[in-house]
Amino acid sequence: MKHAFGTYVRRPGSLILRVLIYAAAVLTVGGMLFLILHILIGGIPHLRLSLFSLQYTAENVSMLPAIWNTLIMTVITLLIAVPLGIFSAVYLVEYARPQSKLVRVIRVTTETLAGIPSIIYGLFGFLAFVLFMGWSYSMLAGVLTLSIMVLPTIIRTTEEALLAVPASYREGSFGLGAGKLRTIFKIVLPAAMPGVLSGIILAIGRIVGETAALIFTSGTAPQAVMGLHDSARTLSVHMYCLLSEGLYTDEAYATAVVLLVFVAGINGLSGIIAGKLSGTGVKKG
Amino acid sequence: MRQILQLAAATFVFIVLLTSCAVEKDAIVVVTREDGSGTRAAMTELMELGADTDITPRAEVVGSNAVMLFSVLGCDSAIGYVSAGAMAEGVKGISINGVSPTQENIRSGVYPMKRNFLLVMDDSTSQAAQDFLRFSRSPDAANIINEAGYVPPDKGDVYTSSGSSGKVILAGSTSVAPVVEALADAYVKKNPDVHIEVQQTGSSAGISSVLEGVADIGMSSRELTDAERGGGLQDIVVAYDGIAVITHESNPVTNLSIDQVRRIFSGEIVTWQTIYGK
Amino acid sequence: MRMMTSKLQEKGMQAVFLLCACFSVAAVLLICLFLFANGIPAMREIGVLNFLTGMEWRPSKDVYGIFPMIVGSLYVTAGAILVGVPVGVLTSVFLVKYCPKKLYAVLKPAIHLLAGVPSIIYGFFGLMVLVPAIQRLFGTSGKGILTASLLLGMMILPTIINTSESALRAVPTYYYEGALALGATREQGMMRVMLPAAGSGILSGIVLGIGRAVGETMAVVMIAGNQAILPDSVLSGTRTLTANIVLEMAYAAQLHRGALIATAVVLFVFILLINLSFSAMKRGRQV
Repeated sequence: MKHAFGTYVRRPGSLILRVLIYAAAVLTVGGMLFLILHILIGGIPHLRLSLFSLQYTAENVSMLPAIWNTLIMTVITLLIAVPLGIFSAVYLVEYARPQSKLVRVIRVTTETLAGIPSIIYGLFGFLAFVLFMGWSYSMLAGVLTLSIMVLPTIIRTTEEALLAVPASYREGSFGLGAGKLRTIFKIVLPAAMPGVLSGIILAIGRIVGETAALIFTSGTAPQAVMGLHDSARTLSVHMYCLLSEGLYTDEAYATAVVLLVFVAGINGLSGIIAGKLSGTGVKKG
Repeated sequence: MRQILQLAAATFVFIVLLTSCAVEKDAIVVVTREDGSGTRAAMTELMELGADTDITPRAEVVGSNAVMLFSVLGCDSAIGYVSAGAMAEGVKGISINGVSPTQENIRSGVYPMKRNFLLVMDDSTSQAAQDFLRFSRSPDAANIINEAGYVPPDKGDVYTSSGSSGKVILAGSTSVAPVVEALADAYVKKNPDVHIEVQQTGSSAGISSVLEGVADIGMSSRELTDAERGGGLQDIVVAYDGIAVITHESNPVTNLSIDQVRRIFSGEIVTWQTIYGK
Repeated sequence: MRMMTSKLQEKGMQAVFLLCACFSVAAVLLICLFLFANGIPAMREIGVLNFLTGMEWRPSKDVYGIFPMIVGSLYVTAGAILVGVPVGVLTSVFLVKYCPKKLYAVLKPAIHLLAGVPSIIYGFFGLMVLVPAIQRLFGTSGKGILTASLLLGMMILPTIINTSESALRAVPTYYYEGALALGATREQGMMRVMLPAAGSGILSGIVLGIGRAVGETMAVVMIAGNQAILPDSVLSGTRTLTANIVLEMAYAAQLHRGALIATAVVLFVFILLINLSFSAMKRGRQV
């Protein structure tokens, strides 16, 4: 250590840099802890049972309907986006010639879609589905908007997962006389499953956290959704509404806690799957 | 060594940047609602800001009553305005011309900054929506409105359920929504077959969604414009509300004249000292 | 016969896959179509130059100039970069070279969590914590460029940390070892050798961060003050393009609505430019 100290005396710049590096790390960790602890400390005492009543009223501002809506919307969005995304990726990896024009166009558009801010998705959904299609504020409008939004995430992760499947798998399958379709569905996709799953989980995280794209599409009705044409608020939108209706600060904190738990759960799940991916998923060889 | 110098220079520039914008103490922080908000429209109308004066562009803009309350709660030199029914602890409702914005004063009409909460519909209103409108004028509804902190209009007939069914979509003002939500809760208890949806989108959006057929009933906290009336819209008053000018509790000012309010919000008076001085 | 059907099946499914792959192209076209069809006429009615360089935004008087919002978006994004990039890059250096393994096992998932926290929660946190803090420090209302920059800087941290970390890890270790062997300190090895070698990767992370900061809506609208005027210091409030849309969209009708959609068009073009430079950069790295 003495030697190191001597170096630092001779090179004070290095010492300062080292201090800065530690300071940055402390800042990151500190900010993170502060955020999470602040929400937990502010919210956990206010997690009352009435916040989980079956029916929303202006009095109990229950978040249970919003949780239900979030689940339903996530499931339907995935039902639309996952097949679309996986099939796109299959085409890109298994069928298209890598340098063809079409592939390049699709790549660029996928990247573009990935970069579009959610408020623009919201505006598009409002113009296209709510007004042009005349569906008014409805879950359908929200779900379609979200599907387009999460599509690039699913395409990209699936693509990477498919590319990681060794060519020998496919050759082996062909060699045994299987057709291309059979090879894709029986061999390649199962081998790529962990990667695909992690993409789906990323998409779930994005759906759960989304606000800006939903206010103008699926609207803010606080009841549990019954049909595709009903308006429905998700948990994040519920929190937004709590922050704009009146002084529901305590309830907003409580909702934030539930949201955080959701997000942490989703993250944990993806961590486990990522672990599987690097551990037992695709074996090299 | 060079790195230290660079660092020092950067810190120096940063500090200069910060100090160069040192703010004058005592400056009034004006907080306003966004353009298009019914509360803002009512406020400008009540202040009698003319066509060429507007709320100062230096005012902080917030998107809802709640954020308005947060902002004033958290800043001791702030002044803002909210729906009187949405007043909360920690902020102080300023008396206007010596009259404080209580429910009583709004009911009797002494408080000068009073406005109507409207329900807006066109000719194609569904049967269920009409039934809800009938309920909203009943004595039962009046009690609910009163309890929510607003002033009900003259009582209509006693409401009895006509057993209607269907879906009613209400959209519009975030100020009106809490009242309507409370009414909807009570109405659905009486008519379990009706499904009521309350969308908080804002007064103007609510009115245009009625015109576009997206909603059955619009909620507005401002009066209809001539153009909107010309479009075939009608309205009824569901409640009266005051607009409360609010400051932080610790602010010594308790009373302002309409003229002072106007000059503060138009940016003519910029320090609290000007007010105390008088 | 069976050969025939299976061949048909193969061809049919290939067509389905192709159709799905084209969907994202269709989506981008549709988004452009709806935005431009609704935004461009309004922009033309206001006058493109008036719209882009107008200093005043007064919908009640049909005056629509978004220059202050463009500037606001630029300031806030620049602020976020100033806050987020140094902290993020240095943190990634910490993660790569200084972090004990056990701590890393905790930190890495935590940073992932931070990336997943919904922006509405960030906004709420900003409103409840940052705004009062800035207010007490400087005696202003607490909302403004500085507050927004700090919060956005925090929000883009995970993006920056993750991309710089993987860029740093991709640099061959003998670069670093060689530097040390030549007598450089660890920090010099890091700053003079590793960081420049990982430069393009870090840069693309920064561009991603810029994209996120420009597009952020719900958090910014709660803490930036939203005044549609040119700010005169880092403490004064500002309105971003995104905030302009989300604040007034609900209320807008006719030309006002058109002007807001036109705002989205401008934002969209910004994002496209950022994306293009990002993919150009990526291509540059691959060559």
